[in-house]
Amino acid sequence: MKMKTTLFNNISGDENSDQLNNNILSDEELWTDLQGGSSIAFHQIYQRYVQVLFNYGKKFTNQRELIEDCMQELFTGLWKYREKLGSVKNLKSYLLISFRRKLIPELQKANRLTEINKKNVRFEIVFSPERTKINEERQLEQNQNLLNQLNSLPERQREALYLRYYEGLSCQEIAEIFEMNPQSVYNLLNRAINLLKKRLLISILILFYIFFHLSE
Amino acid sequence: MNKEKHVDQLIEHPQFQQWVKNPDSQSDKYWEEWMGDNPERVEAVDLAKKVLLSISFKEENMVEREVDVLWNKIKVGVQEPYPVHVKTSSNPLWWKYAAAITAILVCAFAYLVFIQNEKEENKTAVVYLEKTNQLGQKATIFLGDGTVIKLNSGSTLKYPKVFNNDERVVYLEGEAFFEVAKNPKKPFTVISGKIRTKVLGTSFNVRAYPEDNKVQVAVLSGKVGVKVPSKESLVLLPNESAIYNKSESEVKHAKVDMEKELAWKDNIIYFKNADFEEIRNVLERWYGVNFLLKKDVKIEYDFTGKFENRSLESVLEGISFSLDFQFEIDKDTVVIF
Repeated sequence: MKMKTTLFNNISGDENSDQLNNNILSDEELWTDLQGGSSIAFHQIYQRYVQVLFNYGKKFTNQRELIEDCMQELFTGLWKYREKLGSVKNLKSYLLISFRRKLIPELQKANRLTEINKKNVRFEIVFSPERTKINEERQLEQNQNLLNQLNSLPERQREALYLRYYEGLSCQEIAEIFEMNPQSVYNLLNRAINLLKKRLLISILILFYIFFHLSE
Repeated sequence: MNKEKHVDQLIEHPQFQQWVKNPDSQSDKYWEEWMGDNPERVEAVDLAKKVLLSISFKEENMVEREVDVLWNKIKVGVQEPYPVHVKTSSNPLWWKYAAAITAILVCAFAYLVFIQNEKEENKTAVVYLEKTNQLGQKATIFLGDGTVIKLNSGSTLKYPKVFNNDERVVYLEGEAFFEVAKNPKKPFTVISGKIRTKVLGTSFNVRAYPEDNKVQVAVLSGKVGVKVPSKESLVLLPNESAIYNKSESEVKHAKVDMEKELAWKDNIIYFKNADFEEIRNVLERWYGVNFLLKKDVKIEYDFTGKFENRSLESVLEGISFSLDFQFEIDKDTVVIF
């Protein structure tokens, strides 16, 4: 068994930082170990990404069984074909892409049989806990308007937002998932960001206005 | 518009994203210093922060048990011999533990080989294990193939220590919820009295108490085949059930409310238009008590309601009020009058 220690740099960003102790391997090291047949590396990859994948799956459907079946298939395949898989640049985006490729056809199959899943808003944008703290009524109302506007963006645009700003994938990687060119992904995201900037600037201005008005 | 550009730069900055999402003292310090050095960008930071915080999604995680169950299934799904996984620690004592564990594994392995040889020699019948829950008791059983079974109170599950090569068969008396690990080559069969429930990999609930007149199989996911003697096999889909009436030897295929059927797993008693007979059976098993009905007591109403982690007394208080009866609890006996 291999024992490696890598210094963990807190600011460089790995969301698992809290559950890690000092002999944590990087994704690249885990991948190499997995290809060499290390079951411990396999388990660590599972532990590191099980919630990321489940969370992503839940954005498409509430059918937990289906999500878990696809995850099972994904990981089983990962172990079985580990030697043939070649090198992987970014493990997280690799897993997200492979998972999505399994999940989408399964969902289409399942939804042809049952009609239950239709009501579900996919990739719904919600209040972040930080924003919910602000309980100024007027602001809440404005936030709600903003949310509605965000949630009426096309589903694909919201998924891009999710992958870019929630999971931290690059435009290049998202382009691979959507099978489109990176520039289009960039434009897709930019449209949403511009909308947000505009809306937020306006609401800041309104608040300022109210503030000065009241204090006069 | 230089300002706008600054905002965009911050929004795309990985460390900045990280700080907005999960601030800690280290990153707080870093960005405060940064703003001190770049006072003209404080506004940009504020707006960029607001933008990123507006893009928020619900966090939906699996609970620890689900993570373990899924891992168990994956391990089983991996066909080739899978090396035993031992949890490691960074403690210097690690090597000692490893040595000790290795020694134990070697012994266990030797023991298994020995047993295996013995079995091979005198091809005896399959060894069965049996788990019986007393009234008022529940248990979770993890089978070697990755299947997880939650066994309700007053129920017995009999299962082979090791499944043979071409099928998985278990015997149930009472009620259990099955989450069967997928294996298309080895169907999984639950035998409960005269009813056989056969699946490849799904989750479903079987209620087959010997003292009840009805046996019910209810499906949460996947496809389930149910075979009743001298009847065609029924195929059940999610949210469907088969109800077998023992005295009339009749089977009914019906829609079912899975939330109600599976409430027991989460320690919830759930009645829906339940008559007194049903209430009595459920409570007797759940709390391990006997009901004694005084003469002339007639209870005609139905009851609908949920109880979560409640004492027998408080459950009975709720029900007696709407069904209009009095009760007294004396040790293991509930007297109804």
